[in-house]
Amino acid sequence: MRALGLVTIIIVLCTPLRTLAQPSDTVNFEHYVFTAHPLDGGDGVFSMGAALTILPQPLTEYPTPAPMVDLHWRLGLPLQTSIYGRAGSNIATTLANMGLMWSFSFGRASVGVGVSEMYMYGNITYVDGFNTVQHRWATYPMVAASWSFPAFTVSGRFEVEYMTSQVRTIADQTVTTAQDQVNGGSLTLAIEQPFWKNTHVSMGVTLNYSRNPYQAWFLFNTFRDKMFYPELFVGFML
Amino acid sequence: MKNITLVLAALVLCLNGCVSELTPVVYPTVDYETVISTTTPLTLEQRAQMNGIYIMQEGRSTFGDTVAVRWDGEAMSIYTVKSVSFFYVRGGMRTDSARFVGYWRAVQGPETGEVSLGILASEGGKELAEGKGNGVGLTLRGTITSPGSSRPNTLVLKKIKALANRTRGFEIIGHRGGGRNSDRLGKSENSIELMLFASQLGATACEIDVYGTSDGVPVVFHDPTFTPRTVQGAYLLGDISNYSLRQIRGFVRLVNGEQLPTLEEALMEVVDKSTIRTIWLDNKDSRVVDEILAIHQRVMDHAASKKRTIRILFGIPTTEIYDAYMKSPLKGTAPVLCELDQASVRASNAAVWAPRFTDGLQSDVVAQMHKEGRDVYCWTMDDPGFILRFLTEGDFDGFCTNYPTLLAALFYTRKDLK
Amino acid sequence: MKCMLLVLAFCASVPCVLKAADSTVVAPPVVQKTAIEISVAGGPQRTFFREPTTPLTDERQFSGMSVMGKLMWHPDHILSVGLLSGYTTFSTESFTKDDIPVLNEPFTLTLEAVPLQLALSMQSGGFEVGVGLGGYLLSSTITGGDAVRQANTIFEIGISTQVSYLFFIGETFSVGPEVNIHLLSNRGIVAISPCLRAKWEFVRY
Repeated sequence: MRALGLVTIIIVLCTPLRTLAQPSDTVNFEHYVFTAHPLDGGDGVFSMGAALTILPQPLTEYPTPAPMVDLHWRLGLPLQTSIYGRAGSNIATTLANMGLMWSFSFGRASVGVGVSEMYMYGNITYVDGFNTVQHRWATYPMVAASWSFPAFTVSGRFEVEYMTSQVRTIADQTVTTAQDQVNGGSLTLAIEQPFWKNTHVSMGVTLNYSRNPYQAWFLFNTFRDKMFYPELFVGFML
Repeated sequence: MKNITLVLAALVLCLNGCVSELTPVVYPTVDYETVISTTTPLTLEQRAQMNGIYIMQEGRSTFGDTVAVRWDGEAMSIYTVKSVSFFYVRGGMRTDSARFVGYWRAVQGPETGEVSLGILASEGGKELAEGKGNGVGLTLRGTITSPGSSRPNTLVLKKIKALANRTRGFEIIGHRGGGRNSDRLGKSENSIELMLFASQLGATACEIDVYGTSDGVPVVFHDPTFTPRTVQGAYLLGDISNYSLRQIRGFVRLVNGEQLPTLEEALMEVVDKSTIRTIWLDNKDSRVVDEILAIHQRVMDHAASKKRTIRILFGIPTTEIYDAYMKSPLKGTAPVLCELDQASVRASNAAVWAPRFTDGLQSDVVAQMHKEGRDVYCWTMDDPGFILRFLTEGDFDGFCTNYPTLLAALFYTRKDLK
Repeated sequence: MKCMLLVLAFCASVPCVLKAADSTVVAPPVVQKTAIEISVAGGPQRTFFREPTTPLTDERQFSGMSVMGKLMWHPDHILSVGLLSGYTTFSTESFTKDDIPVLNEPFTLTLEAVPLQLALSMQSGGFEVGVGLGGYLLSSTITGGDAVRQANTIFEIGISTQVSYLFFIGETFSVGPEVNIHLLSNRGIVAISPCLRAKWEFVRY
C-alpha cells in the first residue's frame, strides 16, 4: 500500500511536468500564512481553522482522530524577516508556538529559514481516573519553500522537533520523561488560495514522523519506534 | 496548475497509504537442540543458585549496569532496564562448566539477536556443578548479535547478590496475557501461546480479557469488536457478541495465526503448562458472568487435582459487571478483584483492589486496604520513571504492565523496596 | 495492480496528450459563476487486501464494481467542496462445507462499502482532481450456517481519490474517464476503479 502511494505520486508528478515550465504573466503573491514569500514590515496575516490528527493504531489500538482548533499567524518585520506562530487547543492539549523566519523570493519561488519554540500544556485531570498533567518545551528549526501560481500558492515546510523538556505529573508524582532529544520531524504541505469571493483558505497536511507527538501525550507512549502521524488542516484567512 | 492539484491529491492518498505500522521483528532461528542434547539440565537448586542480580562487566552500553537473571522452567531469562530487553536462553551443565543459547529482544523496539553464554569452571562453574555456595561471583560470559553490527558483541555478567523481593510478595502482571500485539512478541495478545510464555517475559501473573460469543461462550479477547489489530480475516465486523464460537473459529485467527481461545481452554492450559501463580480475569461482558464463575470452579477443581497452586481473580472493572456479579447465584465462589471505588470493593468482599495508576499513589487508601486484608494491584504501569516511583514510594502488591520485562528488571534489581 | 497503475497513468496523461497532439480540441469553458454540480461515476473495480480475507485461503485480490456520486458546491475559483457517497463491492467468496471443517456447511461471504466523505476537488479546464475524506460504512454479509443471512456494518476511517478529465457536451453537462481509488488503510484495503463519469452543473448563479 505504501508502494502504491509512492508510485501514484511519481506518476502524477511526472506526467504533466511540462506544464510546470509554462510561463505565467500573473503571479499570485497574496499574503498567506504558510508561504515563505516575505511580508512587508508591519503586514500581518491570520488564519483560523481546525487540524485533525489521525493517531496511529499501534498507540491507540485503532486509528483515532484527534481534532484541534488551530490558529496561525505571521507578522512582517524589516529585513525580510517575519515572526510566525501557532496556537491550538482541544482542551486536553493546548499549545502555543512562536518563531522567527528570514526569507527571500526569486520569481515565483520563495525560500525561508526559521526557528520556533513551542510550549505545550496537557491536562486531563477532569477525566475520571486520569489525575495527569504534562508540560513540554520543544524547539523547531525549519526550512520553508513556496511557489506562487496565478490562482494559488503551494508551500512546503520541513521542521525538526527537538524536545528540550517533557515533565509529567500524576497526582503528586512528577517525573521528567524526556529531555534534550530529537523527537522527530514533520513535512507540512499547504495550498493556499481564494475560495469564495475574497475569502482565502489554506489547507494541507502535515506528515509527522515522531516518537512522541504532542497530540498523543496522554497515551504514555513507550515505543522507541518513530511513528507516522498525518495531520490534516484547514484555515480561513481573517 | 493541474500538476500541483495532483501532487496534493497524491500526497493525501499517500498519507492514508502510509499509516503507521511498527517495524516487524524478525526473531533469530536458534538451534537449541544441539546444546540441549550435549548438556545436562540444571537441577532446581542449581537454577536457584544462578538466579540473582548481575553486574554487566561487558555489554553495559546496551543493557546497563545491572540486570536480573531468573530461571523459569527449562529456560533462563535475563531482564534489563536499559533497552528494556529480555533474554531467553536454554542449555545446561557440561561437567563443571555450563553452556546456553537463545535470543534477546528489546521489547520497546524491533531489536533482537542471538545469544550464546557459558560459565567457565574457574568462574563459578565448578561450584555450580557441585551445588556449593550461593552463586555470588558466578560469571556468565558469551556473545550476542545485534542488528546493524556485523560481529557479535561480548557480554560478561557477574552475579553480585540475590534477587530483591518484597515481604508481602509482589505480582508482576502481564497485561493481555503478557503484552500487546504492538509489542511484537511473535505471539498474539490474549493467546494461550503468550500466556505460556509470559513467565519468560518476567511475569508472575497474567491479566486476560473475557468477552462472550453470541452463543454465550466466554472467550479470551481484548476488544469488544473484531479489528485488524487483533484478528486476521476480513468478514467478521463489529461486536464479538454478534458471532458464534463456530463462526469465529471458521473465519478468523488471531494476528499471529493462533486460534482465538475460549476462557476454559486458556485457563486449563495455564494451570497445566505454566508457572503463572495468579490470573486476573478482566471481565467485559456481563452476559457471561455466571458461566465465567462456573468455569472458575471447574478450573480450580482441575488445579486441585493436579496439586497446582494458582489464584484466579474474577475481575470487576465496571458497574455492569459488578451488578451482574452481585446478582449471580455463584457470587462468592471466586476471589474478586475490583477496580471500582472502596465501597464496591468492600461490598463485593474483593480480595484485591485495582486502581488505575494515573490516580496516583493513594497511600492512605492502600494502607487501609492492607489493614482489611486486601491486596492492591495498580494498572497499567509502563513508564520506567513512574514504575520506580510507585515501587519505592508506594506500597502496592503488584503492577499490571505491558512490559513485564521492564517491571521485573526494576523490581528484582531495586535496593529500596518497602 | 500494475494494470491499474497503468490505467491511472494513462488517465493522468490524457490532458497533456490532448494538448500536444490535437490542437483542435476546444478548451472547456471556465467556470466564472458559482455552480452546484452533481456527478456520477461507475465502473469495474479491482480490490487488493493486505492480508488473506479468511484463514481458509490465501486469496487477497477480488473483482467487483463501484458507483460513486458527488454533490459539489463550486464557488468562483478553482476549489469546490461537497459530499461523496456511493456503493462498492470489495469482495465476494463462496465456500463449500468441505472447505470449512469446523462449520461443515456452505457459506457465502461478501464485503461491501458505502463511502460517506467530505469531498474536495480542484479543477482546471476539464481536468479535475478530488479527494474524499471521512470513511466508509463497511458491511459484511455471511450467508449460510448458524444464521441464514447475517449482516454487520461498521464505520471505518478511509479516504478516496478521484482523477478525471471531462469533455463538455453542451454548457452544463460533461463526461469523461475517471480513476477512483479507495483506501481503507486500517483494514488494509485498496480498491482501484477505472470509471466513466458524468457531471451536470444543475445550478449556476
